[in-house]
Amino acid sequence: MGVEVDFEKISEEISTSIENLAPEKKRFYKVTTPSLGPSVVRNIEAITTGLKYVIKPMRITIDYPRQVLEQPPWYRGMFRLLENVCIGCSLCDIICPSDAIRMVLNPEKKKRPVINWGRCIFCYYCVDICPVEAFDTTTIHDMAFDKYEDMLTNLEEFTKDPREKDPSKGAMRMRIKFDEKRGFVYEPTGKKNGGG
Amino acid sequence: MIQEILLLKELLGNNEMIYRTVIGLGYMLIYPGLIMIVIAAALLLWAERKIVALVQLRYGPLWISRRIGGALQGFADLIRFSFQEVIIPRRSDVIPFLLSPGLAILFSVLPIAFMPVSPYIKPPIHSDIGLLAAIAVISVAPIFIVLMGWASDNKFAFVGSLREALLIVSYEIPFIISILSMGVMFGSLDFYEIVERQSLLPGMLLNPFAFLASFIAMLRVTSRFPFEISEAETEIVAGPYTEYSGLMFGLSMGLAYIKLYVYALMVSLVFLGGWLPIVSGEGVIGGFLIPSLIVILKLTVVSLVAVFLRAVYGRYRIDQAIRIGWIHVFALSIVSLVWSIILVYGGWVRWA
Ligand code: SF4
Ligand code: SF4
Repeated sequence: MGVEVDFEKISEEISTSIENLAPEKKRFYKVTTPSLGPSVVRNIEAITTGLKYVIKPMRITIDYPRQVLEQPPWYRGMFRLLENVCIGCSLCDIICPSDAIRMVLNPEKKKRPVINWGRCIFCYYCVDICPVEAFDTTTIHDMAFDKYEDMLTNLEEFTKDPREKDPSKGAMRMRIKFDEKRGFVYEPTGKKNGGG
Repeated sequence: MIQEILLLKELLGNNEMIYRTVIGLGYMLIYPGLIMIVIAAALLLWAERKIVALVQLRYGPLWISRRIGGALQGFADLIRFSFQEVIIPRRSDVIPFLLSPGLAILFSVLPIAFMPVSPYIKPPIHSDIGLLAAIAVISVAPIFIVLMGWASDNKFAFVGSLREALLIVSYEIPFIISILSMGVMFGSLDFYEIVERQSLLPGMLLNPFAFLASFIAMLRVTSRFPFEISEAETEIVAGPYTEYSGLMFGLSMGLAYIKLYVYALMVSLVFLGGWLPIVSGEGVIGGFLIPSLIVILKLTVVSLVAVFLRAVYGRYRIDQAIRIGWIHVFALSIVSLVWSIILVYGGWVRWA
């Protein structure tokens, strides 16, 4: 048993069907190298373009840990729990789509939320649903953790201000500006990052 | 340092053997040999990353030694590599796996023994077929790259080493033909005579075909873009070096830069006139240091152009690279050989 495949016939059929295509479509199937003259010109063009940028740098990135992008106040970054405000209603735990929030009991046997930063997708449903606005939000999103377990917070850690551990503390905040010649460029706002 | 060398010469003046051994060891191990090569490779690594970053509108390495634009990044990498753990895969062939990076580097550095950098201090082996000998020694190195892939027992490493073998054959032959056609033209394979005979015109202008062919072949042989096919990160992780880690990875990654240094030295001696415009000099400074710095400068220009091309070109497909190698570059090298023969037998070049 088995299916006999006539590879020669198939490849012949494919090549005749390519032959019958319109010339502008044929271009996709038959890659031809340009002749000597144009290809030399193209190579020289590519090299001069590269050299232009080496001689006159035109950077479109920022010098990250020393400069950071200024985020709008509604930017969804890391947040912390204001333990005295929370009423322990568990709505944040119920709404969280990625199951990042878990309710634990504090020493006074009251329910309080803790978060797993490894699961959180920063959708802010929890912040929105909280009836007493018990979450203090920041625009920090670039925190690094040494171990996976560090991302699981307990109540003490979740009530700490993430601004204290901001990796780009003291960095210059940059604003995006549109420039006629270069497109988008960054300009310093004059404000330093961190410290509240 | 210089004073000590002079003192050493005075002390050992009547014992030629010891004097030559000391000078030869210094030549091979310190300058322009091993230590200089490591420094040059680390700086070249930084220069490549910086140039590519500039063309791609980025900053490039800047964290270490910020004041000088991150120039010490290569050394930092080297230190990091040497403190990392070396993992030996269980199924690898251990002895060739461990030995081949070192041997490949050894055979890449060894041609320095034949190549002079100055008129005053001669290389350890001053031979009248120095050019041929240097090429012969350095073409052993790719065998160990193939061995690396074979000993790793990893499919990416194996594919990478096969690619290396295939492409080395297609490009080393044009390189050898085109650089030997310079030997035909200069009527000598001795580096000293080759450099001397370029005092009017550099070899690059005497035989531009040979320069072009050997530069393109050099790009492939030292794994530079657009021929960086055997290490293609996007396709086969790191090619023959996939299974290496720690210091071994540092060695195998530095190998391409070490080869680039040696090939660029050869190209700058044969095509760019070596230490010319200085013809001869006396003493350690005038006869050795300044001419060798001129050679290093020419070498740097050649290798900077070679690393700059990474920013401009994409990577060729393997069949494209082989077609270019055997049709265009090989043809160019044959043309360069014919050109040399015409120049010599037509009587346009004549050496005393
Ligand atoms: S931001 Fe979204 S994902 Fe993160 S804890 Fe709140 S509800 Fe869950
Ligand atoms: S929704 Fe607000 S008040 Fe309710 S448990 Fe969560 S944080 Fe506390």
